[in-house]
Amino acid sequence: MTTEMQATVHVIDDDESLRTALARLLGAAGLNVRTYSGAGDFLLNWQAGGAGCILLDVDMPGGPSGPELHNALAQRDDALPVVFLTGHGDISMGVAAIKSGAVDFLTKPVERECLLAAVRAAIAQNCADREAQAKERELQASYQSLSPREKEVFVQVTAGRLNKQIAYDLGTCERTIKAHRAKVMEKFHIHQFVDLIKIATRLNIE
Amino acid sequence: MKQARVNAITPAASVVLWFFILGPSIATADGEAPLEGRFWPVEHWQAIVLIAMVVVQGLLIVALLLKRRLCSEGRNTMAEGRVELLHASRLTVVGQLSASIAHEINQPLGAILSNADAAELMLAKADPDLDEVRLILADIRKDGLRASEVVRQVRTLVQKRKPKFIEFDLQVVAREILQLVAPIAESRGVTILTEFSSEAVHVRGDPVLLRQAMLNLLLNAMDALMDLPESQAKIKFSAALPQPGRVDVVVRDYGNGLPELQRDNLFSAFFTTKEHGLGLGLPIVRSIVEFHGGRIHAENHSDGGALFRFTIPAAYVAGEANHSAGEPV
Ligand SMILES: Nc1ncnc2c1ncn2[C@@H]1O[C@H](COP(=O)(O)OP(=O)(O)O)[C@@H](O)[C@H]1O
Ligand SMILES: [Mg+2]
Repeated sequence: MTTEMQATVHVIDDDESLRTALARLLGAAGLNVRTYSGAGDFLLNWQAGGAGCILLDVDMPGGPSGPELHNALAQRDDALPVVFLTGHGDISMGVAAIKSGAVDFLTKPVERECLLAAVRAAIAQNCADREAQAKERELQASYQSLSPREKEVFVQVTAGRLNKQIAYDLGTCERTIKAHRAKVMEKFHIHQFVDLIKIATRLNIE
Repeated sequence: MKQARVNAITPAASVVLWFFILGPSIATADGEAPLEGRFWPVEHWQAIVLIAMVVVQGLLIVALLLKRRLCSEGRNTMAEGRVELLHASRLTVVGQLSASIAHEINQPLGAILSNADAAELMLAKADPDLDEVRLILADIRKDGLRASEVVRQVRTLVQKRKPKFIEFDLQVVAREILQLVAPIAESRGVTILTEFSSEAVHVRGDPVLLRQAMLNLLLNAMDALMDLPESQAKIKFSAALPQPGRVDVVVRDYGNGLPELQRDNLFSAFFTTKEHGLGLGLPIVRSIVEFHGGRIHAENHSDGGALFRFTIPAAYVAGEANHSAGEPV
């Protein structure tokens, strides 16, 4: 499970002095921080895959703007949650940013409590997302490890059919079906039949 | 003061008018009925008259205000009107860009606030890194100065200085500026080539403002020549009368020219490509030139470098050929 300790806040702002100040504050609050002077710097130097969030300046003249970078990143599945920072405090811009999936929209100068709360919420969201994704991947892997017969049994069983009926359909005896069933449960690391049904719904298996 | 007088007239007039409306009904009241009994049956026509009176009063106020305005406008001299104009045009620049100004100021303020917060958190630790805190304090001071510099620049932009309109030789002012920038140019290895005409170039305007305009253009040209070989570090500066009645001031450098993509933004307040630029130089030049009834134009010279040309009307000086030879005076 990922925690705040392993997460990194990526601060992107073209203003060096503000960037440094934000990094100092987040660092003093116990967070890992990396700074970037603009969208280009971020794309070149970001180590994708890690947990964390992005603290993104809205207006960065001479390069892509914050919202432009956000839209480009939103296409990726390893995208990090974004907290916007703006010097304009334009409400409509904030609404648009939130609608496009930003976690928060803060105006400069930003209060310490607001900043830390927004950044921590973004990190928590990212950690939860990552955990759900990991779980999903694990289930997919387990499902793929089933033999064709086991897959067949898994589908039939979770569709509510009796061992006897399945055995008849597949032209084998009930004991074999019971064995397959036990094997499936083992591969998914579960002991209860209800959990198998839950997995079937999560994997979207009819 | 005048406002107060208008306001004083209105209540006085309204008391008289109220008396006029109510007077007859009070006068015709015979002793039998209570006074208010007499008031209400005639409510309708009284209400109508009352509304009419309010309207008349309103019109009266508007008329008084308009009259006052016309009078004072008549009294104003041309020059005074122009001060307002210049002020207004600069305010428009500032008004349109209030968002940018907010940005320019919020940036250092944001840094100051976050630095102070960081220092506070650091000092709360058992073993604070005092060197880091010292660095933070230095940065806070730097950003404080930066914010105040923005405020200072914006104030110069909106300041209501009364321009002094006089007739003068623009070349004299241009030479003064050259003396001013010569030491800077020399230290940066920049040569300024001047092309002045032998005749005087008379204009009517504010020398202080026009000096500021030419200075801003020269400073930009010198910035554009930064880090270029000395053979390239040249500026051409000229003030001439290319046509009767028209004065052209040209500042041309041999630098890398204007960024093509950003041509539209050059004159926008706070547009800058320089690390420590404020982006107020060119908008100020433009507002000064337009205030003098002129125009400014920027282009890249075909042989390289940026060229800024502003054109303002020449002053008509009686008894002197203030334009190309051969023109009738
Ligand atoms: N002579 C020039 N050559 C190239 N670029 C120029 C020149 N003059 C102005 N510029 C461009 O216009 C921008 C705005 O200029 P200005 O308004 O004077 O603000 P600042 O000088 O503070 O940047 C500059 O940052 C620069 O990019
Ligand atoms: Mg400048």
